[in-house]
Amino acid sequence: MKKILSVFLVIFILALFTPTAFAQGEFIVDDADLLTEDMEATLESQILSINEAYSIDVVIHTTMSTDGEEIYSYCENFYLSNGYAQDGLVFVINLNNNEVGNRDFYTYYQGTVYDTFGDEAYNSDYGYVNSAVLPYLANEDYYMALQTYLELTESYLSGEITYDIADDEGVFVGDYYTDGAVEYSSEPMSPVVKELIIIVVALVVAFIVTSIMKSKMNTAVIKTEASDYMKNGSMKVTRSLDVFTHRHVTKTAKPKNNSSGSRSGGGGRSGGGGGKF
Amino acid sequence: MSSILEYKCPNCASDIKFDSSSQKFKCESCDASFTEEELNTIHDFEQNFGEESSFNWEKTETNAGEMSGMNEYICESCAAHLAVDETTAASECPYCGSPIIMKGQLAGMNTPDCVIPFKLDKKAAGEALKAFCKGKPLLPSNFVSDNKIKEMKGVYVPFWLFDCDADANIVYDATKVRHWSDSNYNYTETRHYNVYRSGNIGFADIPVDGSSKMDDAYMDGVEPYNYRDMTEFNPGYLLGYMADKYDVTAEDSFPRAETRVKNSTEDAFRSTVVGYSTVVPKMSNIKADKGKYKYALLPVWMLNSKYNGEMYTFAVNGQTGKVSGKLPIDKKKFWLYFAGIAAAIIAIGQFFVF
Repeated sequence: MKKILSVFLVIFILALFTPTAFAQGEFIVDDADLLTEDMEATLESQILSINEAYSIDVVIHTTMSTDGEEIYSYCENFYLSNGYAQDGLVFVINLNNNEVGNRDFYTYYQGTVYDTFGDEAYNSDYGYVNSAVLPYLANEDYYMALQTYLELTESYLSGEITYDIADDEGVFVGDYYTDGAVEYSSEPMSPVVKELIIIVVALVVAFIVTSIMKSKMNTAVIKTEASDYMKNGSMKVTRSLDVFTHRHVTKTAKPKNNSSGSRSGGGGRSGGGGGKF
Repeated sequence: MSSILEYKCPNCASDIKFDSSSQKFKCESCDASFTEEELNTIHDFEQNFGEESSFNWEKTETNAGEMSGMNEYICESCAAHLAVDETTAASECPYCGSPIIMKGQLAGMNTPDCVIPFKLDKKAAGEALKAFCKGKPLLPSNFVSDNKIKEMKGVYVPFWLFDCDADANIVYDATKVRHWSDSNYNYTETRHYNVYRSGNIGFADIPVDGSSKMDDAYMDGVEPYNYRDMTEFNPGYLLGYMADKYDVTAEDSFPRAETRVKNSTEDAFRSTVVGYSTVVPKMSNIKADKGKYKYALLPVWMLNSKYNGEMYTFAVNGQTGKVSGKLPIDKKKFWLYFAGIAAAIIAIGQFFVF
C-alpha cells in the first residue's frame, strides 16, 4: 500500500514539474522543415526560458499549407487542439506552397498573454513585432525571423519595451491584415491643436470651479424631507419581499479595428494578428 | 388555493397558473414565477395601493387664548403684522427692512403653545454670520460690516410643528446591473425587481413656517432646531424681540408637512433595500391617522442688506447659529477668479504638452 502511495506521489510531483504541453519538442512544430536541428535546439531553449519565466506556452509552428483554412482559424485551432496551456501563444508561418506574396504569418494568443497585449496587440504591440520580423521572413531567413520574434515577445512580456504608435512612423510595412483599415496617427498633433485643447480644458475647469464657488453662496434651499425629525429607532419593517420580475440584456458590438480582429478562443480571452510576405 | 388561481401576474397582469414541476405559480406571458406566500404578500400590498396616502391631523390642546399686553406694528411695504412688547420700540420690518408703524394694541394673535427662547444674542448671531461669509471669495468686500450687524433684528417666527406615526406600504423598482464582454460584444444585463416594504416610522416636530412674509427656503435653511430647549410659552420671552403673527394656517401647512413625511419615509425604507444598483420608489401608500400639531415661536435673527440696489436677506437660527441666505456675487471677482484659474491651467498645460 505504501509503495503504491509513493508511486502516486512521484507521479504527482513529476506532473507538477512537467511543462504544460504534452512534450517539450512540441513547442516547435516545424512541418515546413525550415529549421535545422541546431536551430531548433537554440530556439527551443529560448522558448523554454520564456515559458518558465511567464508560465505560458510559446509555440512556433511552420506549415506548407493551411488546407484552405483561414490563417487565423488555423492558428487558433492548432493551439487549442494540441493541448497547450490556457495562457500562451502560437506563431505560425504558412508557406502556402511557396506562393510568394501569399505566404502568411500569424500570432494567436490567449489567457494572460491576451491580458498583456489586449485586443489591440495585432495592430499595435504585436504589429510592431510583426513588422520587425517581416524583413527576415521576406528574405526567407526564418531562423533570424523566429529569434527576433521570440526576443521581442519576451521584451513585451517583461514590459521592457512598450509601443507608441505616434512615434513609430514607417514601421508598418507589408501587406497586413489591418489592410489600411486602421489609421495610425503618425503625425504629431499640431501645436495649435494642442493649445486649443488646453484652452478648452482650462475654460471648462474654470467654469466648474467658479460654479462650485457660486453654489456655496446660497444656503436658502427648500427642504422636501424630514430626516432630522425622525424619532430615533422608531422605524420598524413589518413586511419585506423582494421579487425578481424580469431581466434584460443589451449587446453592443465592440469597435473593430480590422478584419483580423480578436476572436474568442474556447470562451476565454484571446486575440491574434499577422500579415503576408 | 382557488383564490390564488384568480390572481393576475404582478408584473404584467396576465393570468398565472400553478406549475407542478417548479411548484410555483408561473406567468405564461412574462415567465415570472411566484410562491404562494409571495403572491399573498403582493396581493396585500396591492390592496393598499388602491387607496391614496392619507393623513389626519389634530391640534394639541394647550393654549387657546389670545395674546395681550403688546403693541401691533404693520409693515407698509410687505404687510407683515408684528407683535412687540409695549416697552420695546420697533422701527424696521425684519423681513424687508422697510419702516413699520404701530397700529395699536395687539389683537387677534393666538397664544403659542411653545417657544424656543433666543440663545444667541445679536453679537453671537453676527459672529455666526461673519463665519458664514468667510471662505466665500466671490463675496463683495466688507459686505457684512459691524454696522450692518447692529441692524440685525431678533424675531420669533411662527411655526407649525407636526408629530406623527406613519404606516408605510412602499414598492420600489430596483435593478441589479452586471457587465461582461467577450471578444466581439459588450453585454449589460439588467435584472428588475419589485421590492415591497411595509412598516412604520415616527416623526416629531417637523417645522413648517407659518409666516407668508418669511420665505420658506430661508426658514428651511436654518433648520434644524434643537427641541430640548423648547418650553411652554411665556410672554416674558418676547421682551426685546418682535414676534410675527402667523398668516399661514395649520391647514394650509399640512401639504408641506405631508410631503416631507412621505419623502423621508420612502427614503428611510429605501435604506433597507440593499444590494441593488438602482432603487426608485414606484408606489407608496403612507398613512398617519393620529397626527398632531402645535403652534410654536422659534427664534431667528434677520438681516437685510442692500447691494447694487438689490436687497439680500439673511436668517440666523437664534438657537444654533445656522445661517441661511443668498450672498451677492461680486462680478469683478467672479471673472478675476475665472480668468485666474483658466490662466493657471493653461500655464501648467505648457509643461505637460511641450
